[in-house]
Amino acid sequence: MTLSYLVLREVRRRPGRTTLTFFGIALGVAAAVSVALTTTATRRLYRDMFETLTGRAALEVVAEGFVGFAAAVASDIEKIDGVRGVFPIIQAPAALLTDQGTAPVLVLGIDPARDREVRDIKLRAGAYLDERDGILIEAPFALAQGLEPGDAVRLLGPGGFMATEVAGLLDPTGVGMFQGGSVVFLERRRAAQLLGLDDQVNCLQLVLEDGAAVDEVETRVAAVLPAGQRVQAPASRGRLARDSLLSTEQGLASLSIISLIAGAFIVLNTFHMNLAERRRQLAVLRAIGVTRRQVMGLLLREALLLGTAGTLVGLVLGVLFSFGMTRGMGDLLLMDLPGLQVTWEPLLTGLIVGIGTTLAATYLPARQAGRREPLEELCSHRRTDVGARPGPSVWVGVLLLAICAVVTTGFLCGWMPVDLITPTMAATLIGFVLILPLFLTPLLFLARRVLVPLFGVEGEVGLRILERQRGRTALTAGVLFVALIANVGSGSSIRASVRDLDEYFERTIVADYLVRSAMPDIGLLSAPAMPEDLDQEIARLPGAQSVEKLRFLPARVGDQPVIVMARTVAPDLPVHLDLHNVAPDEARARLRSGEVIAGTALIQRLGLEVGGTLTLATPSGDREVRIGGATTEYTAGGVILYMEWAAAQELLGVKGVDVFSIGAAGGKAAALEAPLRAFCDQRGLLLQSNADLRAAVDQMVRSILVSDWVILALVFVVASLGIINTLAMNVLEQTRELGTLRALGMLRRQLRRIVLSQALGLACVSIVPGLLVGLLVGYLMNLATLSLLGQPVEFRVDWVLLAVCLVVAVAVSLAAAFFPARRAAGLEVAVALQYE
Amino acid sequence: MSNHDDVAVETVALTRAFGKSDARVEALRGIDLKVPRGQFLAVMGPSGSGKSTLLHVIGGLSLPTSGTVQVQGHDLATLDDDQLTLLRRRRVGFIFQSFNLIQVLTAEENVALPLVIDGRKRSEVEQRVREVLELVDLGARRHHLPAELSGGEQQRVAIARALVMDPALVLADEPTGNLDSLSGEKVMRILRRLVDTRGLTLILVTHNSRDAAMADRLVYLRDGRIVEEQILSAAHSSREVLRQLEELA
Ligand SMILES: Nc1ncnc2c1ncn2[C@@H]1O[C@H](COP(=O)(O)OP(=O)(O)OP(=O)(O)O)[C@@H](O)[C@H]1O
Ligand SMILES: [Mg+2]
Repeated sequence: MTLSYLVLREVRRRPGRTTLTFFGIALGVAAAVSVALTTTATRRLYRDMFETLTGRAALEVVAEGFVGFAAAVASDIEKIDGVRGVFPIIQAPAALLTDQGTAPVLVLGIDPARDREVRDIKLRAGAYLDERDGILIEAPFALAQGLEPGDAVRLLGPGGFMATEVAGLLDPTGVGMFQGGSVVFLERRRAAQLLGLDDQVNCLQLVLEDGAAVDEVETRVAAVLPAGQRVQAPASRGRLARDSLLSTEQGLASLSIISLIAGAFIVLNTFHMNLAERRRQLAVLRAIGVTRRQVMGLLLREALLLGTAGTLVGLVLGVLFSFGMTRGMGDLLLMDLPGLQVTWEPLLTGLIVGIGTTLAATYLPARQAGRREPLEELCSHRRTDVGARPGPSVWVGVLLLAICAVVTTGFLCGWMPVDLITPTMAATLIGFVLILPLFLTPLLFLARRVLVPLFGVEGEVGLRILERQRGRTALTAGVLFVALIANVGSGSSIRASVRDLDEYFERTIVADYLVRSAMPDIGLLSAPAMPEDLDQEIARLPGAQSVEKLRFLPARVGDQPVIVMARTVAPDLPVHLDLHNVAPDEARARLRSGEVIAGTALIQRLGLEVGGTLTLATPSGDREVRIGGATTEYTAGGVILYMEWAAAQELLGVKGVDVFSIGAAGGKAAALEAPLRAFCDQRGLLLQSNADLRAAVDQMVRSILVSDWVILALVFVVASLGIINTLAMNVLEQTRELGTLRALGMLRRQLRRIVLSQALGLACVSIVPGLLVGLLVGYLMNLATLSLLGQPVEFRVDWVLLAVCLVVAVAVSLAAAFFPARRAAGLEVAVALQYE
Repeated sequence: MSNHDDVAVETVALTRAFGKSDARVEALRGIDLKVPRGQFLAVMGPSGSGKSTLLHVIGGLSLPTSGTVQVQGHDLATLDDDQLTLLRRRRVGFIFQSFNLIQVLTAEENVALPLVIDGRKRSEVEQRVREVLELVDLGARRHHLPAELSGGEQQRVAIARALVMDPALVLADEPTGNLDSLSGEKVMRILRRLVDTRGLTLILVTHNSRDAAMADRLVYLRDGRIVEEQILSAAHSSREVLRQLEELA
C-alpha cells in the first residue's frame, strides 16, 4: 500500500464531497473557458474580415475620410524600393437587392486580371470576373438569398442603382457575418460607378517584396503621398471596431474572472474543511512516522487528482456553453458569428487555471497541516478553530483594497488605462473577501438578531457553530459575498447605463420616419449609402415637411479614429442633441457656420475643450476645426463629431446618404406612411417609423437586461454550488454532535432547523456586506464609464435589483441547506455517535 | 402489564446484527433482561461483547433486529421517531465514554440543553442547571467551554446533563473509562448516591471491577449473550465482590 492509495481511498470514502468539489472546479473552469472561447471567436471574426479585405497587403494608402482619390499616385509608389505591387481597389458598403429583399453587402472593386496576386479566393461555382461580367458572392450567402450564377440582381450605392448578374460563387471568406450579408467582388470601374467615385479609388493595397522592412517602406511611401492621403497598416482600420467591442468584452472578461474567483473560493473552502475533518487522521500519520513533506505531497496529489478531473470536465462543459454564448453574442451584436472554432489557447488557459487554482488553494492549508505538531492534533478535544483570529490574509486584503483604491482613482482621473478595470475589479473582490473576517463579529451579532427569534434554540445552536468556526464561516460566506458583489455591482452599473441609454434615445429619436438602405453594422458602423438626390423626391411626398440627410464617415483627429456624423441642419428646425453648456439655437448656428459638436467621450479622451479647436485629417490635409459644443452620444462609443452637411462635404467630400430623417407636417405623420412606404418598397429601401425605432431600442435594452439576468443567474448557480458544498461538509463534520443532540432528545425536525439556521446565518453574514460593497463596486464601475464614454452616467440605487439579489441569496442558501438538512435529520443516532 | 410500575427496562429475545452476509456481525444474540426500578445494574464483558450496543438499543438510539424492548412500560417498537425522541428527552439520561459534549457550548449551556430543547421557562432552566452543577461539584467552572475542562470535569458535565431532566433511567457507557481512579471514584459516588436517594434506575457499562462492585446487580456479557448474572448484596464485603468479579473475567 502506497500513500497514493490513501488519496484514492479518501476520494472514494466521501463521494458526496468529492462530487461537489469536482463540480465546483468544473463549473469555474467551464465559465472561464466558454467566455474565453466566445471572446476569441468574436475577435477572430473581425480579424478574418480585415484579412479578407486586405489580403497579402502589408500596407495600404487611403485618403482621409476614406473618400475617393485618383489612382495616379500608384505609379510613383510602384517604383519605391521594397514595393512589389500596388493594387488600386474600391471598398465600400452597398445594398444588394434581390427578389427576397435588401441585404447589406461590402463591395470590393478589384482588377480581375491582377487581384489573385494579392488575395486568395476560391471559386465554387460559376465563373471568375475575367471570364464573365457580374459579381462574385459567397456561396452560403447566395444559398440564403436563393441566388445562383446567372441570376439577375441590383445593387444600390451613392451612385444610384445598378443592374448586374451573379457571375460566380466563392468559398466563404469570413466576411459573411457582415449583417448576414456578404462581400461582393466586382470590377473596379463598375464599383466606382456604383459608389459615385467616377475614376477614383479609395484604397491602394501594397504588396511588399519578401523581407522588406515594413517601417522603412512606410516612411518612403509617406514621402511621396500628397496631402490628405496616408499610408497605414491595414489592421489599424480595425481599431474603431475593436473599441466598440471593448465594453462587451470587458463584461465577458469580468464574468469569467468572477466565476474563477468564486470557483477558487469553493476549492479553497473544500480543502480547508477537508483538512479540518482529517486533522486527526493526518496527525496519526505524522505520529507513525510520515514526514511533513509526505503529508503535503498526499494532499497536493489529492488536489491534483480532483483538479485535473474537474478541469477536464470543465473544458468540455466550457466548449458546450460557448456554443450557446456565441449565438447569444451574435444576437447581441446583430451579427452572424462564424461556426465556433475551438482553439487551443483558451483550452490551455482553462487547464492551467483550473489545476493551478486547485493546487494553489491547497498549498497553504496543506503546508499548515504539515507543520502542525502531531500531539496537539491527537488531543482533538483541545482543538481550536484555525481561522479564529484574523490572520495575515486580512492584512493582505487591506493592502489589496488600498492598491485598488489608488488604481480606481487613476481611472477616474484618466491616467490609468481602462484595460486594467477588469483585473482591478477582480482584486477588489478578493480584497473584500479577505477582510470579511474583520467584520464577522458585528455581522454575527446581526445574524443572531434574525435567527434566535426565528428559530429559538435551534437558531442559537446553529449560530454558535458559525461563531466558533469563524474561519470557515468567513470562507463560506465569502462565496455568496462574491456572488452578491458581482451581481449588485455589475447589475447596478449596467442598469444605470441602460437607463441612461434609454433616456438618450427618448430625447433624440424625434424623426417621424427614417429611410435607409439596410440596418448598419454596429461593429463597423458602416451602412450602404443611398444617392443624395432622393431627398428631393421624398420631400415631394404628401405630408413630408422636412428631410434631413445623415451620413457616418470614418475620420481621424490626430491618431484617434473618430466617426464624423454629417447631417443637414435646417435653419428653422431644432437640433435634437443631448447638448452640454450650449443652447440648442446657439448650437445650430455654430454647426451652420462650420463648427463641430463633439461627443463628450472624444472630448474627454483627447483632452479637448469646447471653444477650442481640433485637428481633423481631411483628404486635402490637416484642417483646424472649432469645437462649438459637447453632446452625450452613444453611437460609436461617443467618439463622434457632428458636422453640418455642407461643411462635411467641403472638408471630407461626402458622397451618398446613410439615413434620411423625415419629419411630417403637424398631424400628417400617419398619412405620410403609405406614400413613403410605397416609395421605399419600389426602391428596395428600408423604412422605419418612430415607433419601429423605439421598439428596436426597447428590444436592445431588453436584450441587454436579459443577458444581465442570465449572468446573474449563472453567478448564483456557482455560488449555490459552493454553499451546498460547504454546508454539506459542515454537517458532515458535526455528525457526532448532531448525534449527541438526538440522543439528548432533539427531534428530527429540530436538527433540520439547526442546519437551516446555519444556512440562513451564512446568508445574513454575506448579504449585508454583499449588497453594500456591491453598490460601492457598481458606483465605481459607473464612474469608470466616465473614461470610456466621457460622461458620468448618473448612479441610482436599483431597488428591484437589490430586492431580487436579497431574495435569491436567501433562497439559494436555504435551497443549499436542503440536502445537508435531510442528511442530518436522517442520521442513525448510534452510528452518528461513533463518527470520527 | 402487571409489573409496569416496578420494571424500568425489560428486553425479550433481543438481537441486533450489523452488516450483511460475509461482513455480518451479530452484536446481540438473544438478550432477556429485566431491570427493576431503582436498581443499579452493572454490565461487564470483554471488548466487542455487545455492551454498548445493548445500551443503544435500550435507549432507542438504534433499533433491534428482533425481539422487544420495553422502557418504563412502553414497547419501543410501537413508538414513532418523535415519541421515541420525547421518551429519551424526558425519561432517559445518557452518559457516554467519550463525553460527547457540544464543543461550541459552555458547561452550563451543555447542561441546560435538554431543558431548553424541551422549551422550559428560563427561570426553571437556570435553577435546575445550578442545582445539578452543584450536585456534580462544578459550580465554579460553568462558563468554561468543554475544551477548557479536564476529562473528569467534562464527564461530570455530561453527568449533570444526563440528570438535569430528572430522568427515571440513566444509561452510562464506561463513564469512568477516560478518568483517573480518583475522578472515577468521585463520579461513581455521585451515581450511587442518586440511585439511593432518588430511586433512579442506572445501567452502567464498565470494564472496571471497582465500579461494578458498587452496583446492586451484575450481568456479564460474552459474544452478545448474558453468560453470568449475580446479585451483589450490601452484606458482601467489597473485597469479596472484587474477588468474584476477577474470577468472572
Ligand atoms: N455500527 C456498527 N456497524 C458494524 N458493526 C458494529 C457496529 N457497532 C458495533 N458493531 C459490532 O458489534 C459488536 C459489539 O460492539 P459494541 O460496541 O457493542 O461492543 P462493546 O461491548 O461495547 O465493546 P467495548 O468494550 O470495546 O466498548 C462488535 O463486534 C462491533 O464490531
Ligand atoms: Mg462499548
